[in-house]
This record gives sequence, C-alpha cells and structure tokens, in this order.
Amino acid sequence: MAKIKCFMLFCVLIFLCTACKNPIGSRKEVRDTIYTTVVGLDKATEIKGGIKLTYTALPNSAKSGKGDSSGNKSEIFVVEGKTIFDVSRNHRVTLGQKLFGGHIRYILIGEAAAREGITRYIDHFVRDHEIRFNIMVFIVHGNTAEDFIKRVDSDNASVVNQLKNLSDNAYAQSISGKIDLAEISALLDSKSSAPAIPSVTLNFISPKSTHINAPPAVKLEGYGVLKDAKLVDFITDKQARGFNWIKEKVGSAIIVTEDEKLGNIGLEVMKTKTKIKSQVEDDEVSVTIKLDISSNIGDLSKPIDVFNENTLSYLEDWQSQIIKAEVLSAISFAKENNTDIFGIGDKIYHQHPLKWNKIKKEWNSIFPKLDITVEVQSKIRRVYDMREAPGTKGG
Amino acid sequence: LKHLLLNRINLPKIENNIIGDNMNFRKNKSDSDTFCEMDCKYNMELNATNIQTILKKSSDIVVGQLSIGLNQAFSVSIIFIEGLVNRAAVSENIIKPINEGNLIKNAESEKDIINYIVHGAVYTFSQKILNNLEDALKAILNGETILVFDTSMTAISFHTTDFEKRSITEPSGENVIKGAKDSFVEALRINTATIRNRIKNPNLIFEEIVIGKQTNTNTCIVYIDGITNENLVNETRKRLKNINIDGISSSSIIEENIIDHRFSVFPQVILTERPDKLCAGLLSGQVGVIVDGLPLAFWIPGTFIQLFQASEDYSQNYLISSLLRFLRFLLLGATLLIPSFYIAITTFHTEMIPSTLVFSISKSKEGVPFPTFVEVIIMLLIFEILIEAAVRLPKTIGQTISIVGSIIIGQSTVEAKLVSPIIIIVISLTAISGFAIPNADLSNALRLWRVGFVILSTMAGLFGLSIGIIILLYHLCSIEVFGVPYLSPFVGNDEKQLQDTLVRFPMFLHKKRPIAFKTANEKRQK
Repeated sequence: MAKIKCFMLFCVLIFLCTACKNPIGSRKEVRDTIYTTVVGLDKATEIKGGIKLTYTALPNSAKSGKGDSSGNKSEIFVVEGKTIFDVSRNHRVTLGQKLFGGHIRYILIGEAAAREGITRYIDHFVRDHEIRFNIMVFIVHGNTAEDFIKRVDSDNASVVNQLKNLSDNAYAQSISGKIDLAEISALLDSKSSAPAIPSVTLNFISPKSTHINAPPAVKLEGYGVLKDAKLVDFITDKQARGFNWIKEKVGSAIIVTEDEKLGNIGLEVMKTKTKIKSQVEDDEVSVTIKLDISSNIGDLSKPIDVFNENTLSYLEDWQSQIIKAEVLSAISFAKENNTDIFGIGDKIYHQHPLKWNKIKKEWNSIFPKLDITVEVQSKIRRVYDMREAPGTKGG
Repeated sequence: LKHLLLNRINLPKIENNIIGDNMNFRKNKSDSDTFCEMDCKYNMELNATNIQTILKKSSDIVVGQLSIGLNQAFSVSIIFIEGLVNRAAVSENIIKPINEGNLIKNAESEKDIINYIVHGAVYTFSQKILNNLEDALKAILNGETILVFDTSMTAISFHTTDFEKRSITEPSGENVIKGAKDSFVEALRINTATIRNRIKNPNLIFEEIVIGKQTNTNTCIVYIDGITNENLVNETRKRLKNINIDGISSSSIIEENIIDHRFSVFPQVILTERPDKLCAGLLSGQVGVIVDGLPLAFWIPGTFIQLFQASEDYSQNYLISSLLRFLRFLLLGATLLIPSFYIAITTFHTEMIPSTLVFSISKSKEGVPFPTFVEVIIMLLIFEILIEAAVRLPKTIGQTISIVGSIIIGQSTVEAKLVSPIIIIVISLTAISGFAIPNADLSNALRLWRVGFVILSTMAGLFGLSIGIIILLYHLCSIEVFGVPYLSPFVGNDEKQLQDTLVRFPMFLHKKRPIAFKTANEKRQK
C-alpha cells in the first residue's frame, strides 16, 4: 500500500512540477482552431510602423455554406498590427478562433518589407514554441506577399500546394533552392555570413500551358541576397546556380554545350562536390574553391559518336568552363554587394582560427578584394542506353 | 400485563442470543476447518439402513438386497447411484459371480465371503474393504458400487464408474490449422488420459486433491517430476489445499484463490482448452491444474509473454511466426493506445498531425456537437455494448448483431453527426487489434486499461498518456506469480533468454527451458 501511495504522490508531483499551470485549459478542439499554412509578411499600410499579416487557412465550409464548391481555394485573412504576436492575438479576440502556428509551412516576405530588414518579421517565428524550425522562407520578388498570395491561390491549387510543388522541384535546374528558419537565423547570427533567401515571382512570361484552368504561373527564381538582415538585390538564373555550386546545393542541373560541329549536347549533372580551402601566405588570405562535377550525357542533337576520349574530354572542358563562369559571376556579385553569402568567412575561421581573429574586424573590407580561385574538375561518366544518336551510320 | 410485556421485551433478546450463538458456532466450525466435513456428522455404524437414511431423499440411489452364501444364509445390500455406474458391469461382474460362483455359494461365514470377494471371486479389478460409513458414502458418491455386510459392519467397494461423457471435440476458442484438433472435456479421467497419451513418461505425475467442502471436486495437479521445480509444485499444492470453499463451479474460483495479485486485471494463470498446449507448458517446467467438470486446464505460473504465444507459432515457419508475434505486440500497443493517442494529438498536439490530415479531421468534425473525448467514449461504449450483446447470442443471431453494429450504428452515428467518421476508424482499429491478441483474458484486461488511458489523455494529452504507460509498466513489473516475475524473461533474470519473446527463433535454438521457472532440468535439447 505504501508503495502505491508513494507512486500516486509521484504522479501528482509530475503533474504539478511540469509548469503546466492548467493542463486542462490547453486542450483545444480541432474545429476551434485555424490552421495556417502560408503566412505573408508586409509593411502595414494603415498602422504606421506596423506589420501586415496575410495568412491562408483551410476554408471553413461551416461558415461559407456549401463546402464542396469552394475547391482548393484557401480562406485568406489580411490583418494589420504592431507586431506579429499582437496581430495573431488580436485576431483571436475578433475571430474567436485560435490561430495555430504549428502547421505553417511557408513564410513569404514582401520585397519592400525585406528591403527594410527581415529581423522583425522572423523573430516571432523563431522564438515561439508553437512554430516549427523547418518552415521554408521565400522572398516575393517585385510584389507584396499579400498580393502574391491572393493572386496565386486558386480553385485548382492552393498557394501552399503550389509553393510545395515549386520548392520540391527546385533541384531540377538548381537555379534556386530551399532555406528554412533555422538556417536563416543561424546565418543572421553569424559575424561574417549572410543568408540568401529563395525568391518567388509572378512577373515573368509563363510558358503556354494547354491546361484551361491553369493556375497563375509562379516561378521560383534565384535568391534574394541579404546584407545585415536587409535585402540588397536578387540573383537569378545562372548567377543563382553559381551560388548553388559553391554552397553544394545543386541537386541536378542540365549544362548545354553549343558547338557547331557537335551540335547542342545536354549534360546532366549527377554529382557535385565542393571544397572551399583557405590559404594564408605572407599574411594574405586567399581562397580556392574546388568543384568536382560528374555528369552524364542526356541528349545529343546531331548523329555523331561522342563516345571517344577526345570528344569526352572536350565536353568535360566545356562543362567546366560553363560552370566556372557561373561560379565567378556569383562571386563577383557577392563582392560587389560586399555580402558573404557563401560563408567563406566561416570557412576561414574554421581552417585558420588565429588568422581569422586578426582579420574578422576588417572582413567587410577584405571580402570585396579577396583572392578567390575557382577550379572545376569535370567528368562525364555515362551516356545512358546509347552511344550514338539514332541515325548515326557506320563507325 | 406487566409480566406479558416483559416477556415480549425479553423475547427478542433471547433470539439475539441464539443468533449470536449460531454465529459463534459457525465461526468455531470454520476455524477448525470441519464445518461441512462428513466424519463428525455421520458418526454412525456402517450398515445399509444407515446409508439409506442418510441418502434417503435422493431418488437416484439404488439399493438392492441379495441373499448369498451357503443356503443363502447371508443377506447383503448392494448400493450404487443410478447413472454413475455401468449397470451391465454391476449385474454381470458383481451380482452374477456372488450368486453363482462356487466359492461363495459354499461359503459358511460372512468373513469367508468377504475374503473370497477381495481375492478375486468377483470380476472387477479394484475392490476395497471399507470399515466406516464416511468412506462408504464417499465411494458411492464417486460412482462406485458397494456391497454392505450389515452383521460384520463392512462394505466392499467396486470400481464401476462409467457415466455419460461428452466426446472429445475440436477446441471452440483456440483453433489452429496445423496442429492437434482435440480439446479437454469435462471428465477429469479423460483429460488425464489425453495428457498421459501425449507424455508417455513415468515421471508424469497426476496428484489428486479434493476441493470444495460441499462438492468434493476432484482436482489434479499435473507436472513432470524432474523437470518442474519442486517448490512450484509444493506451493501449488499448498495453495490449492488452502482453498476453503463450498464448491467449484467455474474457473475463477481456482484462479482468484491462488494468485498473488488479486487486484490485477491481467491473467496470472493461463487457461487453455488444448491438451497439446498444456503438455508444452508441462515440458517447459510449469504446473498444470485440471478440475473435474471444467473442460479447461490451468497453466501455473502464467507470464505476460505466454499470452502472446499462440499455438500456431510453433507449427509455422519461424520467420512467419516471428513476424506475426511482432505484429501482435504492435497490436497490443494499438488496442491499448489508439483512442487515447487520437484524443491526445487532436486536442493537445495538433502540430503532430500532417497538415492535410488535420484539415480533413477538422472538416469531418463539422456539425458534431461533442468534444473529441466524448465522441471516443460514446463509440467505446457502443462497441462494448455490441460485444456484450453478441457474447451470449447463438451464432446465427450473432451475425445480425454485427450487421446492426457495423452498418446501422456505425454509419448512422456518423450521418446523425453524433460522432465524426474518423472516430469510427479509430474505434474499429482498436477493436480489431484487440481481437487479434491470442488470449481473450488479456484482451479484456486491455479493454479496461484503455479506458483509463482515455481519461488520462483527455486530462493531460500525451503527457498524461505517458504517465499512464508508466503506471501500467510499474503495475506489470510489480506482479509476481508463484515467485516468477510476470514480465520474465524481460526482467528478473541474470541470464538473457529471448528465443521465444518478441520473435520466435528456429526451434533448434531453443536449447533451454524458460529460465524464469527455475526448472530442475534446464536443457531442452543438445
């Protein structure tokens, strides 16, 4: 009996000591909660110095009447307030439903807001226990987040699905990528590095789709580059891929060599390996970026036999040249804006900590003039099922 | 008038005294452990008249008078119970030889007759001379036929027991595809014979104990001498002998009187209706108990892991058995935790559910007026009602119940917006997982704990649920059955023996008997 009493006391203590003031009060029914999936953040238009929060939630058909007709279109709320927490609490009071952040998947930051600094927008999301660390963050290129969400969300595909599709397929050409809250906050804390946040845009000419109800075309293009937590500029396309090469974030890419004799040849990059090495010579720091690329031949446009040593090494050289150009353009962009998005400073700190201690204060002036050498090693491994294109006779 | 009044007042007092005396009387009797024993009651001379007087009210007693011996000078009574004996055997093997046998015909004294009968003048194989009335009564009640010699106050009993028995049928609850198809029956001797037939070993011992002061039920302790730990046998014998009860009519009377943890719902003694299963238990060093009149056998001691060992496990490929065994453990978790886990994650930890699922749950709950835990409790209740209603129904109506249960109640509660459809899935999963557990007693125990978990998780979500699991583990760890830890071989042994636990190893690796039973002979095979 004494044992049982002890154990019961132990259980009661557990209940009391967990700082759960009122565990029963924290129970909430699913239907009394709004589950937000995408949050858009902009500058407030009415409240001075405030924040405008746009968020999407599951359409509540109990309110809208016939639930089935609403399709995938989310319910969109736009609220303004002084801070994000203020906004969500105000909303709870007016709407009578709890805003639950545990299901937020994407945060969109409007371009104008990002240019003023993203700290105030992401602090709440990093701080609050309810919200996950692996939320993806995007910057809306040339638009506000509110406008983006309203235009993209359609009957066919909710904005969360479209963003999911985009970021899931970003690796195919590697001209953009993913970054989550945890990584951003780590990079913002870093003394030398700066984050580059993937950007989405509506303003581009979309490929013609035969699908009648095609949703408005969204594109994940490049990165918004930050300096001191403020958006400086965007890198797009090849330049953005250059950034990905250095950060080893390339999932796959198609490198197209254009040659008069050989025609256009598509090389599919299968594997990349990046090494950033820093050297200290005569008190001068220099950095070498080594890239190891292996690729396969994905398509040929002329009936020729490429499967010989000469052609292959010719193609490998070409591929190296293309990649090197992309990397160099990304580096020159970073140097121009004086923002170390590649994390080179951190590399130096890891490899030469003593030297880093001496130069870290002047890193801002060193980085634009830093001697960065790029070496690309390419290897073509396979040609898939055929050596030659169909129609290659003889040989 | 005064006198009368006083008398009236006095009367109840006297009655009180009588009742009090009675209670004392009873108490004394039970203390001396003799309150319904025969010997003190029937302290009379052994003769036919006395037996008849004692058994006079019963209509099934047959008493016959015979005159035997030289010139038919001696009168004997033959007494037996109609229905318990083989009548043909009585007339052919007892009455005929004592009437027509030459020896007895020419016998000159009762003593000679008794002597001749005991030494083979009668064609039965077990004759016993009984010298007191109590033994004679016991013999009659056990289905023996007795001859009473009034003048020499002696009786002779003959083993003629033969009453109508149910034939051995297929087990009704524990069916297997590959394996023995026989089951225990109500008759003790047939059950012992079935076991003896399987274990042809001189060391297989059936010890008989009579339990039940009124019913005098024969109960057998079965064990293999040299394998089973002696202390286990002694303890079982002691506990069975300590059962001080009027009669045995059901299995719980034995089970609940011999286990250590009487307040636990978990089965600590395993019941089986399969002789082959009991034999396997005997070989692994356990003690079996068979009770006359119950088509069941008890395995002592029962451990938790044995509740998961189905007979099929040993007749199928070991990989498949292992998979199924593992699945059973998963199902144990499922049937115990699914409803409470559902409550916990939908009301406390919605971030744990995938976004799309939380949307559909939220949609499915539209218009349902109750909070989630009320929904769960409603459906659990309906489910228990369906089980309870179907248990005692004939098989043909049982199907109707399942149709009513599944289609009408299941579908209509959803359509009537009493519960959300996902609750139906949750509860059906729970129910089906519960049925997949081989032991029905364990399944019932889990049913009870499940409700506790639902309450805990309603109060404090996953936190409460984990507290519940800790309490359950604590409870299971604290159970000991006849000195064997309930959770063995996972706890309480220095040695590890996991050949037959979460998975079943191939049979050639089962080198030792379960170490938890501390068997006298450890090795099962080389």
